[in-house]
Amino acid sequence: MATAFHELPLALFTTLASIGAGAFISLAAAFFTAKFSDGQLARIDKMTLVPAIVVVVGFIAAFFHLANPMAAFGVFGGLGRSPMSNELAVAMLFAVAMATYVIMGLAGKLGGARKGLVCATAVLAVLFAVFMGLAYGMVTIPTWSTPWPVAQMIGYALLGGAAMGACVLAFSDALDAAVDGTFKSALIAFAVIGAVLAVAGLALMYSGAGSVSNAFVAGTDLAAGASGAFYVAVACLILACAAVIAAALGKGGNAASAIAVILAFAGILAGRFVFYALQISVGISF
Amino acid sequence: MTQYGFFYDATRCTGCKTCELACKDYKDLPVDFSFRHVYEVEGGSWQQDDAGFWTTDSYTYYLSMSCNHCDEPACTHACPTGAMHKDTDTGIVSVDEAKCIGCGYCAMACPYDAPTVSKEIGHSAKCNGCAERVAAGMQPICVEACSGRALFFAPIDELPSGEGRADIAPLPAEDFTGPNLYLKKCVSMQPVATDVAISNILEVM
Amino acid sequence: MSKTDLTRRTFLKATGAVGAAAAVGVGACSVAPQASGAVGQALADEGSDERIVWSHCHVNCGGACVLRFHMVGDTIKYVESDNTGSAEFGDIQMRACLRGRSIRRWLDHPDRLNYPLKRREGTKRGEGVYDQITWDEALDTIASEFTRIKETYGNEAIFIQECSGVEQNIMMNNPFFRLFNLLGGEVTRYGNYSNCAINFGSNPFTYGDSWGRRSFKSLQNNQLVVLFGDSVMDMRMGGDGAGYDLNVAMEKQNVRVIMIDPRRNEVATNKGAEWIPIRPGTDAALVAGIAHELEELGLTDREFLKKYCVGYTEDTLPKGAPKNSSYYAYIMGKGYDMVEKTPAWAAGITGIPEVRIKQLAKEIGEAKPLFVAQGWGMQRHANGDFAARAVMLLPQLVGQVGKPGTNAGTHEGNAGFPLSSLPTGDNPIQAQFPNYLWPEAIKDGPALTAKKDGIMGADALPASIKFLVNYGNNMPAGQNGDINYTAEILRDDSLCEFILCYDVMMTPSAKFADIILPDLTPQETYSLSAAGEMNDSLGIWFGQPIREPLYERREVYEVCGELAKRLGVYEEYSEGGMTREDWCRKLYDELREQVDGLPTYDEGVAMGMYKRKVDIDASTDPFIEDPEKNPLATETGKIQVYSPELAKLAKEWELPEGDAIVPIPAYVAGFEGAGTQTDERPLQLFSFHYRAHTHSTYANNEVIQKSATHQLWINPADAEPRGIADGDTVSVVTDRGEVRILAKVTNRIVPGAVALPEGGWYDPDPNGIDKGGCINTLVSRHVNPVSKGTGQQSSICEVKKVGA
Repeated sequence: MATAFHELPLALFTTLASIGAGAFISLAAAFFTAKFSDGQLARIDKMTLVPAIVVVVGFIAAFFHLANPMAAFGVFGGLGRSPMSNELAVAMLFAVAMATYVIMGLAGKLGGARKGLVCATAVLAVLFAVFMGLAYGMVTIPTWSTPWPVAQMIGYALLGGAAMGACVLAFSDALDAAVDGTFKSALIAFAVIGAVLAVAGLALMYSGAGSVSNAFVAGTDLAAGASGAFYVAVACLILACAAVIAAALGKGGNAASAIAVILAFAGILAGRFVFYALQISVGISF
Repeated sequence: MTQYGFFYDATRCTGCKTCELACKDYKDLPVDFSFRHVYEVEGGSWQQDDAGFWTTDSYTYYLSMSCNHCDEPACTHACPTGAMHKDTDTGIVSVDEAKCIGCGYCAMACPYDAPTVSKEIGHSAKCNGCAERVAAGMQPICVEACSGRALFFAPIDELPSGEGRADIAPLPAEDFTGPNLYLKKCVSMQPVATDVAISNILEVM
Repeated sequence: MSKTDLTRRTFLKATGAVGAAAAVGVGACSVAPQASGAVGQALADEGSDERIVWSHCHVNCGGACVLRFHMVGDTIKYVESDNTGSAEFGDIQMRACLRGRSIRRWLDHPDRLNYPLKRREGTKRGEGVYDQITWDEALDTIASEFTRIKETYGNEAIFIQECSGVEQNIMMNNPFFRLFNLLGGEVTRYGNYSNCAINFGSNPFTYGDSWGRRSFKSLQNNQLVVLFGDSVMDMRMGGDGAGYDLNVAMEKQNVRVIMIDPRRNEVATNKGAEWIPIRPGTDAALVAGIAHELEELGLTDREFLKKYCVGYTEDTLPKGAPKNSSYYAYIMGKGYDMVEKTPAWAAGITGIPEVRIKQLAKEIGEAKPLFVAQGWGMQRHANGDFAARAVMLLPQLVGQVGKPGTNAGTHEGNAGFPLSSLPTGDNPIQAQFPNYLWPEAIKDGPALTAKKDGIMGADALPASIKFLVNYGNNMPAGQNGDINYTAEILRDDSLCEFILCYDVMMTPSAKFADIILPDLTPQETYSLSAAGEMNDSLGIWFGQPIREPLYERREVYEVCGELAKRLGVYEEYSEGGMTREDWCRKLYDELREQVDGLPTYDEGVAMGMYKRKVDIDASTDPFIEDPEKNPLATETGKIQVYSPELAKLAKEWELPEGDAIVPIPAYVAGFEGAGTQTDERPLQLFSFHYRAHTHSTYANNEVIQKSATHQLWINPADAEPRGIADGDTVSVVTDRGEVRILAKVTNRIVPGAVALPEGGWYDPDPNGIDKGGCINTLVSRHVNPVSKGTGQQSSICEVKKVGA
């Protein structure tokens, strides 16, 4: 787990980015399936600043991870080759879409562009999650070089995003209106699919670590060291899913969605710790 | 391209670590940070017979290794900025310090623990094959320091003949990255994936 | 961090030359300093004034390896070593080991002494509280204390310790001897911590002197080498040392090596020598078992034993020896203990399975030639006098001494130029005591007698030591056994009334001094040295000061001259004003008169170093050619399996309860030896020379310690029941003290024994627990019965986990 704590900035980045970006998936679904009043839309657009800020805080955390952040503009140099360049390129595209959407929303100028823009942002959010998962696809780290990190990140974005999306709507007094129709099912679907992907991805990675070892560490030891975080992650993710369902069913009001966000944050962060704790090289790496 | 590489004659190495310390002196590296590591590898065990006598099938071998300037370096593949790059003429993998953002991916990716990234250093740092010495007609400082003449550095087709690329425990199979570390193996060396331990972890991490 | 970046163009240009790039110098004997200098400068940043100064490493590993300092002003940029001549494996370059290559950080270490210091009034010795004083005050105090103590107690109360830390060049601590000898002399010691038993307890009684030693360079193709604890690749790591010689012989001459050692040392790691793990201190039992089996197999060389040796069988015993006192009687169960020394008996003591002992005997009996050598760790056991003799006996049994490809079972030999050191004049005081007993000589000198304590030149020491010069060593609280005991003696300033420490670092020992003087290191002054015994080579290093002295550091010859001025003997001391550099020239010129073909001193300085190919000894010894005409220096003129001198000492000397002197190399367990373990102290404890430092020198250089960590070696079989994992902090306890140190759980040590490298810096906490991992906190004052040399290797202990 020492490695995991060393990677705290990156754990925070991937947690916040998946929750914040994922919110736009839920919001997009809401706009396509529910009818909101102008007042509700204005409040939603203001409240959408929250997931945007969450994403930005995530980026700042990632920045703190760098030993030489001043040179950060060069990160796209490895586009196509470096999974990290690819991830950050997609992150930038997403950020641009998100910023455009949020700023236009704050300025009240979304108008007819709302659906198109939010849809683009949501699609990029999914892509962003996929590339966050791919960022660690290094053949020399067999625990990471699997589909499971991608499953985890998509799961986190869907579940965390559902929680955050529900929260944005709830605190804009628009959740009731939103879950009146098909959005209810959409929200529940996001939460459940997200939770399944996240938990299954995590569990498969966790159990798979047992078969990997090098001269310095055994995957079983690493897994044992991360077992606390693993169970916390699984529990919080399932509870977060339940809280989103409760919110979707109109139970618990604003509190349910807020609790869902907190649980999702805790669950995803714990999951990210598990992820970093299971870093194990095919050779020598400390 | 003329690919340069190291040759390690394990049959001549006594594990003295002069290579490592000469490098740290020449490159003025901090105490906790080294470009070259001498791994002490152990395996086997001790058994006691019914009469109380202990016997052992254990073995110990050293492996001196820095960056292997791989054919397909995991570090350059992971590097987002291209700071970690492979020279197109010599095959030497080195860091462009100005470009490096210090993200640490190279260190994560490398299965030979070659790059080190820390906030103190401010960027990734690793062996550059003492390119400046080689350019001046000398050998890398580690090679010239080795009292057992166990280390060589040259274009790979000019290296002494041994048993090919490094493919011993605790290293990964050579096909992951194509390391340009060539070996003459000592008797006790074990194949890749043998259950061995690095018995001097405090010294090499 | 890195040097000038390489441009693609320059690199390509250089590519063609790379294959041959190793050989920067030219020729085997003549060196090309200009060429090397130019290379160094080519590397320097443009416009820098980098210069190369040649000096050498200079600590008591037994050698002195070449160092080339890349200097800019007073700053050392980095250090290189000998790059002259051919770099081919087998050719000689005096390449320094990790210790020498890390000297830059040591020379500028925060522990360096920079000013004269005086112990603060009201503080006790050992507390380490000092005030800076002027050189004048320091020198006046030393001169007046010297005079006062000399007048009160006599010159017999003055003592200069061994200077292990600088025991290489022409100067060492000789200026102190030279000065004091002009003022009535001083009591002296004999022997040292390294090889006292072999030099004073074994060689004189076996061969008369260190006869029959040959270097690994003299090995023959495909021959067998049997080494007892001779870890030459751990401790003599330079590019021209015994380790290198053996390395070359194993590869190029297909020499097979068997290593008998409680520890898998570096001859048995990559080099692949066969390791026979043995319980510490039981070597003589192994030899007895082998001897018995050689008899069984009929492989003993009876003809050789009869012609060249005395006392193997009854018929060759010297006159006056009692019946059944021969070695043969001893192994056949008719000796003083009436126990037959079968391989099974030896197995029970050594822990080596009987079958392996039998096989070893066969291998030894059939090997021609056979090279047997021993390290010095074995003879530092409390039974070392006899163990060393037993290993010498092994090649005698099969007639494998004094011939090409053999060694006399002693330490391997080495080459070297006979360079003299600064002459010290005549010391009128004859009394000498064994080196190890200086604390006792402080405590109560006259209680030390010839028959009880091995005092030479007098029946007893005339006086206790009252004036102690501790120059260039870390003995008081470092190298000497049982530091807690020694510290008590030193703390009492009514015993030794004045202690001078003159060193380069604030060592644990310095903290017991009344006055501390800051020395220059040999690299900071003129240091003429011949290649030492570690360097099995013919070389002279013309060390020049790498920079002007920093702070108020001053070198020893000049400082003793300042004392000589105060004590009225400067003219005689300096022979009319000669400087340290003058002495280098003078002594070098004396060497040139003995050795043909050497360059002049100035040529040597310009070259930095001079080396020459060693002639390999392939002759048969004159004693072997004709033993009557060329007798050995023993009482009988022959090789003495049975020593009449020892038989005499056995009758006359007074020994502590449990100790004995045996005229034959019999096995005795000795004080805290194998088999003396108890429930409270179930493990044997021994030390070894570790690559990270030479004795305690360089042990404070963090950069080496990081790569070669000071740890207690313990076998998994001993660690697991104690819950000790690799890297845990453990407590090691003996009857003398306690040490806390990190454990190295390793297959490389025999079960039942633990090993702690020597040289850790004594660092007691308020409860006296040593956090510095100094082995001498744990070992006893028990000495060998004959040589009165250190028994520091014999201890029993317990180890417990105290932290993860």
